[in-house]
Amino acid sequence: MTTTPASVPPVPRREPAVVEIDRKALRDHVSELILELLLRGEFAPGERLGIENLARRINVSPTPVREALVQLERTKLITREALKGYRVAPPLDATQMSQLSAARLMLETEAVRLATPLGAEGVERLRAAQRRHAEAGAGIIERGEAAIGDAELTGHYFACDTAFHRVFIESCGNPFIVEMTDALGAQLHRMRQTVSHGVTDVAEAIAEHAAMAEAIASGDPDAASAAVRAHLLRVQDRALRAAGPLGSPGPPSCTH
Amino acid sequence: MTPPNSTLPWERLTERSPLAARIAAHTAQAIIERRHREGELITESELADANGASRTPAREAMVQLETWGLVRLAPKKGAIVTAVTPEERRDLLAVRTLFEANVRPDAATADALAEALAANLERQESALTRSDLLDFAGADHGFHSLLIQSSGNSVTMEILDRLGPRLARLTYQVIAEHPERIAVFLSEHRVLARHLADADREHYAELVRAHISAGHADAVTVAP
Repeated sequence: MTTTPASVPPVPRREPAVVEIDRKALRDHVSELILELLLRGEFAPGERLGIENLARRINVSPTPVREALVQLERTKLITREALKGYRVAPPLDATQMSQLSAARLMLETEAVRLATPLGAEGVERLRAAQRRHAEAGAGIIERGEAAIGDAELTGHYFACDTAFHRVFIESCGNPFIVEMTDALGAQLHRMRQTVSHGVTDVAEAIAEHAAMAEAIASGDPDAASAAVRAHLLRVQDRALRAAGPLGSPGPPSCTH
Repeated sequence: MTPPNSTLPWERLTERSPLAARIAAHTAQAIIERRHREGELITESELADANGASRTPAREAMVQLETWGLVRLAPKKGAIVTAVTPEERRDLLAVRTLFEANVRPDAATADALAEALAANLERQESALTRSDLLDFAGADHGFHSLLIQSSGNSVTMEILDRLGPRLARLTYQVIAEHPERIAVFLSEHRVLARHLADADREHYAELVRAHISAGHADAVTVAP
């Protein structure tokens, strides 16, 4: 790609230089928009994702959409079929859910082991994130039944939950572990939608997060790792029980 | 009978693979074999011309190469081949060790696994005889993937999948610099395969750590 002197005849569909420079930014932006649509459950599992349709919907040209889909494939929220294009991935079944939990357990127990001791500043951030999660949880408990259909409230709660875990994950020092945990994050979000059990384990999660924060603050990597393990095993247990009897897949609906 | 995720991108191409996937895979192979050197600029039009393709699939291939960490996209220019830093080597090998030390082989698929491992070891042997470095790197990747897959957890395999080309690149570098190490790797692989189903998981994890850290020892020390 070279600069175009005025004497050269016009090349069809040449994008202006500004767009060229911002192409990565545009692609990342489009990628985020599509991710958001996927996480909000805007598309049904198995639904075909037409590039032209998506481009119209978010009002950009097909090129960044095509490129964004290449990036999003790694989240496994979408799948690519040869000669057919992209589809929304089918809902997770019980086996995939327990595999997902096992993968998460492996990555997060190692991340916390590497991250501990967190240092005074890190512990402070962890405590702050823990408090925000507890507050969001208290809000849900307070609302009782009314909280079940409240997408904003549960969305905020899950975001606080994720943010707490992210404090120690991001401090592990190995970018590949961080990246893989992120990729799992999108899947975990799907699991919550597939199970659609609402948030029924707020009190347990608050207590377990407190125990984790305590163990991490102690500075002992083994204790920290054990606390994360205990929490994730209980999360897995609760999720699988919520998924239904005999490990049958949860309802296929993607409502909140 | 090779499981779909145990192979590197260029090994899983079929006639139905989209053009962009083909371009990406072949370019990845060229980068790993150092036909494109670290820091080299690959332009979109160069990639398109070399593959008799238009710019659209070439551009898509570049994004794919970036997700594999083999290139860094340079706006208005193309893609620059990344360098393998000591930190990247250390972190990648730590991840591989983590995944393999955590393996719990599923007894139900033990026979199929033993068969696949035996076939893979044969491929390694043949690559050694032919001094085919890329094929050995591919077989090595396949071998480690089989170990990880023996737990039957497809999620762990999927999330590791994207690191495949980078891991293969590390292996290729080591054996290109120390071809005599291929035979050592092969014999260590035989030991790992033999002990995979042992009840003593800590011992197995030790074998994994020793194999991975010794193999790359003078490239970098792997954290325990």
